[in-house]
Amino acid sequence: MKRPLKAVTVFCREYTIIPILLVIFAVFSIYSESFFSVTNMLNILQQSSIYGTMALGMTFLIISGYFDLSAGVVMGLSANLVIILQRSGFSIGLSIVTTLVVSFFLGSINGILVTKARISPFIVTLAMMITGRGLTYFLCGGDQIDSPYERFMDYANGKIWGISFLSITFIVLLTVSAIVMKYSKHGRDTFAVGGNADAAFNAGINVDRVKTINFIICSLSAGVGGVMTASRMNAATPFLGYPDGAIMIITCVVLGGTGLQGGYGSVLRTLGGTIAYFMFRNGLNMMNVTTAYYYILTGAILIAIVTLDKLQGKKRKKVLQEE
Amino acid sequence: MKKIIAVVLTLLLIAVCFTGCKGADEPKPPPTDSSTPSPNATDGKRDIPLIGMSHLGVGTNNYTTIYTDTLYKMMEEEFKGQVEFYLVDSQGDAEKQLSDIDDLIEMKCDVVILWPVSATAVIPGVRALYEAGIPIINTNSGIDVSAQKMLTAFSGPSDYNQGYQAGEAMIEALGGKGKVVELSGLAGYDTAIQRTAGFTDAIKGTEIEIIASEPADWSTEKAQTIMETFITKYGKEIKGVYCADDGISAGVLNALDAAGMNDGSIAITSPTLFASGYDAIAEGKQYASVLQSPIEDAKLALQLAVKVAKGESIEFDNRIPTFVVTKNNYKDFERPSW
Repeated sequence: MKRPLKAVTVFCREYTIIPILLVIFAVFSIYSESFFSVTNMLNILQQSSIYGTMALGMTFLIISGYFDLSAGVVMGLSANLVIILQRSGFSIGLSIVTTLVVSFFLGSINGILVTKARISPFIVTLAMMITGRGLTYFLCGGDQIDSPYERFMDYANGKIWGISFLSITFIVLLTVSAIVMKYSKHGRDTFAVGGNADAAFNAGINVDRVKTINFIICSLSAGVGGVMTASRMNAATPFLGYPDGAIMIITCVVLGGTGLQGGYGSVLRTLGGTIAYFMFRNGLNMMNVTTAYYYILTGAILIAIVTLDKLQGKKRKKVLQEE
Repeated sequence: MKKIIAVVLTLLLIAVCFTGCKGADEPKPPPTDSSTPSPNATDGKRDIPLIGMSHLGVGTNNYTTIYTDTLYKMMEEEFKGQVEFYLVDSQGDAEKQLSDIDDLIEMKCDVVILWPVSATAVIPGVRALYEAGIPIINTNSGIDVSAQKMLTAFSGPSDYNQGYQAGEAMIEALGGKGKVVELSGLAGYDTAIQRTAGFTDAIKGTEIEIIASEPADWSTEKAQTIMETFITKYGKEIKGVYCADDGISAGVLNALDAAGMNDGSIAITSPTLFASGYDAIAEGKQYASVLQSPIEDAKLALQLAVKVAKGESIEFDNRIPTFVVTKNNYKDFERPSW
């Protein structure tokens, strides 16, 4: 490989989140001895898995130029739904399938309202968030509810070679998403629609269908996240994912460098962003940082990373123009 | 050039933040909201035991804040140099609490104080601690009975007793009959469930009837809204109000004020005394409350944790004493600082 150092620098400029991740990793490893261990890294992976999965779906949607404010609530609704169904006598498998079908359905409502009724996605997903919140409360009766099946917990908490099934699911879904995004027609169309919807339409792409599919992917991944959460706790609480679940998911995506305006991004970036967020949270725990500092630092890091990436974007554009 | 400056500045920002956090804990007396970690202790073996705490939510209300301040104060005054103390804050999120517990296990705590967000959702975390061999002191709010055998001890108020005491006060206030409305705590939270149970058991066999009950989530604002609805719906039928704590009774009093019904003819009792309740009792607007001190709650939990860390044995059930405060005896008690 010619000039490997140059290749690495270009890679780091493109994926700003990776050097940031390394810096965070290095700093915490120095300041906290418990941080620097294989089990801790696996813990971070485990902790990232739920939001990471939901961020995958959100990545698709953001690249196509939209975002979904209801994702957090769909997660909470799904968690409560899967538990309620189990309590009503559904088997574990059937409860999961039904819940995923419901989240699929909710995503398609979002998609249809945005594309066919031409209502702003902010309003649509906000309304879905509020309605979903009400439905969640209705389902669980304002109470926390737990699963009648002890075994349901084993999915999220069970491990193989030290890696939890939750993490494995996340990695599998990550790989699938990466393949779909890069090599499938839908993936290419998503980028096209996000970059310039009119041009995409003129090129013969069914823009409405692409958008709707992405809304469905987003809600579906939120549904998966809800099932994962319910399995992790073997219970569901009324407040899951509300009010800032969606914001957290979007944060993980944006931290990675996928822009909110759409048209570019990747699931690899989202992986980076999610891991960075949870590594940061874990590290702050290890260093016994108080809650106030935690929020301030998280906000500062978010601003720093996004600004850096913006600056990289300008440099990238300049380089492209020079070629 | 600009880009390089930006990168350097960002890294500096990150580094400064960290040194800022760590620097606050160096030789000079630490500020009250920070402890004294020594992350570079010799190769993983600690000279002094590490007590970890998974906290329900430091900023939830006055009670939790004072509880936490008491812990840090005690660490500073009594246990400095004997034990280390790390607190992780779940911020009210049941799922984050499980992650936090994983982190505490990772830090190889010798004892963990657990204040659960949810009685059932925390069970996988309890199990993880149990399997890691870390003793658990369950503080303030109980976990589900099915998992209690994994605990080393429980410490805190007896919410059931306090509810019962508030119930007895209500019987006294209403002469044994009348319609009351209830504003309970956070749905599904053990403390709230116990307080309701205590009250309901106390009024069994009397002619007092609960005509409506709504969870007010420990929030004054929410309680005010709920009470306004109750007033609209039931009006003069309401003879008494049972509030799950004085944060809620403060909202109820506001609502009664606004409706012009705040003349003390409606009996309000609550199982947890706050400063607002103390004042209301003194003015005759609230009938009774029960003193449950977050300071005692925190002290007991930390003392037990230190004992366990030092290898001493303790009882399983440790309760702090609670006292009924009414217009007749409020002068005997200091006005609470929370």
